[in-house]
Amino acid sequence: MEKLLIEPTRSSPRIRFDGQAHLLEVTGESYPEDAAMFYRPVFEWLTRYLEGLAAGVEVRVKLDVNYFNSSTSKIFMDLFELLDDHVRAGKTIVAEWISHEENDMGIEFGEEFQECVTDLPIHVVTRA
Amino acid sequence: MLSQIYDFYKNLQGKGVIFCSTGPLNQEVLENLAATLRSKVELKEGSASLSMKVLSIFVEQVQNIVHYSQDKVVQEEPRHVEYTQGICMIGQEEGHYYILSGNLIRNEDVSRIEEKLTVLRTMDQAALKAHYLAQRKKGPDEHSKGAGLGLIDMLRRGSGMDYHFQPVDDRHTFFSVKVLV
Repeated sequence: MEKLLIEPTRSSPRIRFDGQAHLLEVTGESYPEDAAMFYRPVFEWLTRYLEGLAAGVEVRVKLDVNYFNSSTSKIFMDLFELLDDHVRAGKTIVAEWISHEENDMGIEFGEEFQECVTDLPIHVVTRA
Repeated sequence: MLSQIYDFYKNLQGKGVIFCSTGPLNQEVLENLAATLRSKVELKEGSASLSMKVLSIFVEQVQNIVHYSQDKVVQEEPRHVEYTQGICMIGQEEGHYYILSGNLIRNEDVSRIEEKLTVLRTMDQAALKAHYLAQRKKGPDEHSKGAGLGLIDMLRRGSGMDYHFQPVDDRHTFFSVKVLV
């Protein structure tokens, strides 16, 4: 499957979804004017990728988003729920939520995402 | 105007205003403001956590103006750009930051917004969190152009909120909201 690459802007993150390496990365900041519209192609790619994913392959998802707005928070929740559904259906997916160590809010958001899923492991990781 | 500018300046200074912007707003202007603001607040504050709170409340407020302000202007030259108008400011009082914004809304939207705010203001942090998570799961209502989480989000990050509805004419009301951090 083709990689999904979206370059970052001041208000939207870099998206690097590599279906061969099974590494999906979202990096940067996210407060686009219309979050649902920005992330639509991301979900389209992801849905196709997850449907074609062979059993036993481990997928790593890394979100390192220093700042994001409330509409993006909804999008990330949808993303984790989609991944959670696929884990329940037998896929192997591990998510990493990365925050700067001083970004209390970021860490708290990660912990809340953990609370909202049942099967998807979300590791809350801090960096200096 | 010129003779009043000193009083205007003193007035803002007296209210602890460190940043104030009015006039046409859109996403592009917001991105510029956010960049300016970041250096301003970060210069004053060592704490990444506090400046992040101020920035995030500011972005929610300005995006509310961009999405909902009824004061709209369209520029045609050199390219078609739509703006909405409102006011946003950041200041310091009694050891707190405040983030304040105001914009025109339709009179028929006043009671819905006021009801929502009245309920939100009675909630403690635990209730706000539960409400936030439930609303995020449920998705936005028909009036929302985002996830319907902006006001709850501001209250969760802040340490207090005030709001005011100022009648303007038979169609519009000026809605202002102030969040303390």
